[in-house]
Amino acid sequence: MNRLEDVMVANPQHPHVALVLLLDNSYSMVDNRKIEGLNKGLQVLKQDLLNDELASKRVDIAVVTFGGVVKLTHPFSSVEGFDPPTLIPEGNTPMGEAISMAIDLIEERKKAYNNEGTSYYRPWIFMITDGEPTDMSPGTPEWETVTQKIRTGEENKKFSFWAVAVEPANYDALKMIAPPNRPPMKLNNEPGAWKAMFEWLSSSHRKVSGSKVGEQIATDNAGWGTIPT
Amino acid sequence: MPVGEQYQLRKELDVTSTQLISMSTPYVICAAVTGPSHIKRGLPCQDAFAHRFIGNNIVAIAVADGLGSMPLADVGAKLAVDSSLEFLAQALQTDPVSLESELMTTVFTNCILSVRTRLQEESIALECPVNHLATTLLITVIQNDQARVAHVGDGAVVAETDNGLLILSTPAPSEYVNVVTPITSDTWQEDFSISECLSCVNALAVFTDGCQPACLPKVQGEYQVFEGFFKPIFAFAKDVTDLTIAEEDLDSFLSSAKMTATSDDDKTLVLAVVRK
Repeated sequence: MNRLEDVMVANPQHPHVALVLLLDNSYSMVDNRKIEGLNKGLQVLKQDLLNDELASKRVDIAVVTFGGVVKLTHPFSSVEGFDPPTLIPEGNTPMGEAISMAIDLIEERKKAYNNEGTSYYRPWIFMITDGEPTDMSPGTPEWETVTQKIRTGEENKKFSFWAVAVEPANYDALKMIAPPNRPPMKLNNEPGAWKAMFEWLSSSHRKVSGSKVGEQIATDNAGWGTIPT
Repeated sequence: MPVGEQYQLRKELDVTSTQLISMSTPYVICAAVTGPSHIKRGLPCQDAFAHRFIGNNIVAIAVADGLGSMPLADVGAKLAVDSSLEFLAQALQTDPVSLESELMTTVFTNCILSVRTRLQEESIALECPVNHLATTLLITVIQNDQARVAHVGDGAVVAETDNGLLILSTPAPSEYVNVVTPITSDTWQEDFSISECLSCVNALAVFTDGCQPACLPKVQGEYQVFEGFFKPIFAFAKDVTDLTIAEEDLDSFLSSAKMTATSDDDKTLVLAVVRK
């Protein structure tokens, strides 16, 4: 009799990766049907992740929106439990407060993982905007606080912060907000760019959640965006 | 590693299963399986392991886990394992040292340095950056009923002693599950550890991180030995009468749905039983 049948295993849980989508739903997103691209993109993200057995078990998604007010539009959930919201454009762009909320959410999520004994990958904050912050500007204490949080978080590898600029975003302002090692991407104006971006986001999380890399994965973003020089 | 290659390895060492069991030195049972995620991505098993008898009372076990993101990780892991055992065999045969002596820390450190040099030479020969060969390395030396470990990266060693189960070497600290410092890194020393010399050892388990979730859960940030795993594993190892069958059983166990549910990574588990 093989006594290995008696062996019990401790923890059938999968390691998790937390993804906070930080989405601009200010009024200007109504132009050029950008909000439609965004809403459809969220559906693509869910479906794409669901199609991957590992990623569907490992990725946790939350949505923070900033359009007039900052809202936790969708708290963290599994991919299966993710109910892609339909965003409605309204108000201005309180990006600073939204970034702070995303960073706090990440820290809370890590605490929850640690309490459960769940191991995890480096979380992502993925911001999409077509404007510039209306609740902070360079030189103000709010600006300093928010940009410092992003820099410190990146330097200490607490999270990966990604920013995507959609026309007519203030790219220069975004460049000052994004970490120096990861400049903002500019979404192409071509048809299909929104879908391609969300497919890329999904594919990046499939790669992250399926491998042991030693360092962060460098993911090819061909097809939807560029880094302006 | 396929069972066939393990046979080949033993053949090279000119030691048969039957001989191992009848010898007074510890005996070693090894198995490694390719993780489902590697199979899916068309990657080979990037773990490597080997052991070597040195003199008549020492066994050195080396286990390495090549980093999945690196194109030649399996080559790096195999080379790290082979070159570390080569170094130890030479160092301990020509100049025997007690495991608990301070001198042993020098032997371990020099061993890691020699492996790094060997990996660098190989990267030059292969015309690739040395990090393409990135791997962890876990070296365990057993002398009589004592054991000591030198370790860079993740994986762990758990011992069954007269005083119960304990972790002899823990995975190097890392917040994220997919981040590890390989032996090829310039900062390897930050994640390099040499364990205490443990006495009264009855059996040891040396394993890569693919086995960790099943047997070494983290409870509030601290690794805990999971008795439900280790007690039957060590009981199995102590009861072995035929190494070939035991390794086939261990191989099947590592490939089982139960183990696969805990991790999709490659899994290597080496069990050593000290005969007293």
